[in-house]
Parts: sequence; C-alpha cells; structure tokens
Amino acid sequence: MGAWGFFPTSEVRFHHMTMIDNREGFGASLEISGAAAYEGSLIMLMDNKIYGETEVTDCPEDGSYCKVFDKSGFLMSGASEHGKSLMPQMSSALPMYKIKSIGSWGGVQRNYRNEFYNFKKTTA
Amino acid sequence: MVEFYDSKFIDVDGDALSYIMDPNPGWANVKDCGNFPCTAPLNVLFTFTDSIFEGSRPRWATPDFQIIANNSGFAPYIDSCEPSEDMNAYVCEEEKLGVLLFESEDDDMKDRSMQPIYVSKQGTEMSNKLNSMMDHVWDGFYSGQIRMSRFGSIIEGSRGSVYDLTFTGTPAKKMRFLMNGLSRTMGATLRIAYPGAESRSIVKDGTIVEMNQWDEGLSQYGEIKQRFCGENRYIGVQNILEFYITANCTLHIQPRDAIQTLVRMEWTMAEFFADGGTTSFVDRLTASLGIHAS
Repeated sequence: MGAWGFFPTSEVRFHHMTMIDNREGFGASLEISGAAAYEGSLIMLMDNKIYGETEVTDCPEDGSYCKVFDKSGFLMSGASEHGKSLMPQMSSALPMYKIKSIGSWGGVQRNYRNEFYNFKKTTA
Repeated sequence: MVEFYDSKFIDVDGDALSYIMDPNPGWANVKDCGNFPCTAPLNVLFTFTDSIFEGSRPRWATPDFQIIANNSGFAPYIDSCEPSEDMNAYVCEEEKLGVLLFESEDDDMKDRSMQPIYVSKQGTEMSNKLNSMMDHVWDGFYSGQIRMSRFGSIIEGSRGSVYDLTFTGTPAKKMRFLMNGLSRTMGATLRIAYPGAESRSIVKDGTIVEMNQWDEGLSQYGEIKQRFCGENRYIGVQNILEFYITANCTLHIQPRDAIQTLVRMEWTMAEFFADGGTTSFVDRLTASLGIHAS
C-alpha cells in the first residue's frame, strides 16, 4: 500500500509524494461528525507522481520470484463519523472487523496536478 | 464525489484508468445492509477537468470527462455515457452529473427504515434503487441494528429534469437535501409522494420558502418553473411535494400544520355569515369528509 491516513480533522492534504508499484494505492480518510460534518470536509491530493509498471518486473525472466497483483494509484478516500485508534485501549462499539463507522454527510476529495505513469490493463 | 483537476496520464491504458467495484453481495444480511447490499459504490462520481494524455491513451481521451459506476438503474439512461467493461464503469461527457444527498432529520433517523428508495427521472426508464447506510454498530455480541437513514444518489441535472423519489417506507417528516455538482447551472425538480394528508414546507437558510402562487387555471398551486433553489408547491389530495434544488444548495423539508385540498375557498365575511356561517361550513365540510361534526 502507498500512504494512507485516518485523521480526526476536517481537512487533510497529501502533496509532492511519489508512489511506485502500489498494490492498494494511496489516499486518506477523515473522522468528522456532528455539526462540523455539515460544514464540509476536504481531502486534497496534489502534485503527486504515481507509477504503475516500472523497469522492475513482478516476474523476472530468471524465475527467482513471481508475485502478480492488481496495482492501484489512488484508492478512493472518504470521511466517516467515527473510527478506531491504531492502538485500541478499550472495547469499541465497532465490530472487530471494522475500522470505521458510517459515512459523514459531507466530504469532498479534490485532486490537483497529479501525474499517473504507465498503468496497463494487466500487470507485468 | 471525487474531483480531478489538471491530471496528467502518461501511457495509461483506457482499461486501466479506474475500476469501480460492485456492492459486495455479502453485505445483504441483517447486520450490515438488510435485504440487499448497500448502494454507495453504485453512486460514486469521478469528475476530470483539464486532463492531459500523453503516449498511449484511451480511445475516448478528452480533457473533461466523468466516470460513474456500472449502475444499471442509472448509467444506461445517460446519453453521453459509454460502458467500459474492464473498468466496470461508464465514461461520460456530461458536465451536469452530480450526487444528491439526503437524510432523515427525525428522532428515529437511525431506527426506522425508508428504503429501498427509487430515484427515477421522468421521461426515462431510470430507476436507481437506494439503500441506507450500513450498520456499523456492534453491541457486545450482537450487531446494533442501527442504520442511519442517509442516502446518496448519482443524478443528472440538465435543465428541465424532474425526478420522482419513491419511498417504499414512510418518508421521514423532516429531511435534509443537498445536491453536489460542479456545474453552476445544474438542478432538478424532486417529487416525493406522501402517504398522509399533512402538508410540507421547504426551508432554506432557516427561512420557509413560500409555495408558488395559486393558479386558478390549474386549481392548485402553480407548477415548478425551476427558477430558484427551494421553489416548491404541495399538491393537495395527491399529497405530492415538489421542489427545485440546484448544485451546492441545501434544503430542508419540515411538516406544515395544514391539510391541503384542491379547492380554494374565498368569500367576504358578510357572504360567509349570511349563508349559515361557521355552523353550516363545518357541517358541509365534515359531511364531505365523512366524519362527524362534533
């Protein structure tokens, strides 16, 4: 996975980052609830370079390894009302297998001047 | 809604530009989404503005385009959208695409279901089936069975668009609506049929927006002309609320303490009391409604 974050705030920006050969892509999630959620929240990814296939193949000709996965540049970001901390210290109202609660009312993702290189139908 | 500006795609195949997953069929269970999967993945909108393509590029490469989900209840009915099987999506050139958000503001917003809700554009076979938010609550060993009545629907808001929102459960008394979109000129008239005779008001910025003027020719309040966000009328007897919403405009629905009919009654005070006054009026009204005058 590339970079990902879950932040209790109304705005987050990722910028001038380079992502290469990511399996799940990168993005961000916001934790925002109550009246603040109705005033809007923003995830901004800008001036990033994201590479799909590179000179480093997933299956080199010498057969030393072969790990083929779907690759993603961006993973869809979002805003939710609640989430779990990285190191839970008490029981949570969320099920064991969930890290977030319902989606917030607002939440817009705006992406500026991002560059995507060499994404193909099938991985190499 | 995800917005891209000034993106650059270098040697990106059309088939590889995105992939939009279908809702997981496994979500259709009591502890997650109920009888059918939650519908958010079917109602996402990606907008691309001033994009640049270099090297190998998609056949449809153009600076401004949109990508929407393979939603069989919506996407096939937008003329400018073409299916892309490998992306499990549709690629569109329609600037008036947006996302309509609405939610219950009643006290039972997390306890009572209104879904499925069908969003249908008049003049088309469109029927976008919506589910509410997934149940994310866990109460010890059991799921919370608490689901927020909040909905998102992809929508196309070209001039003259009229949508019916058909609730299979009783609509909430108080609701909030917002249309997200990039086009300043997009908008749509929304129609909601209510099962009861209680009228509804539209509130914008904390103020009730008065209904359109009574139209003697129609024998009801004047039709929606799509002149401003919040323009509305309530059609008595049929119990249909109609209102116009534009991009990035928030409206609220609240009950109006009135029962509307399709008859406008108007007398002078002298005429009213000369013909029996309140006693005769109440007698006739209760007789027409089939209820006792007491």
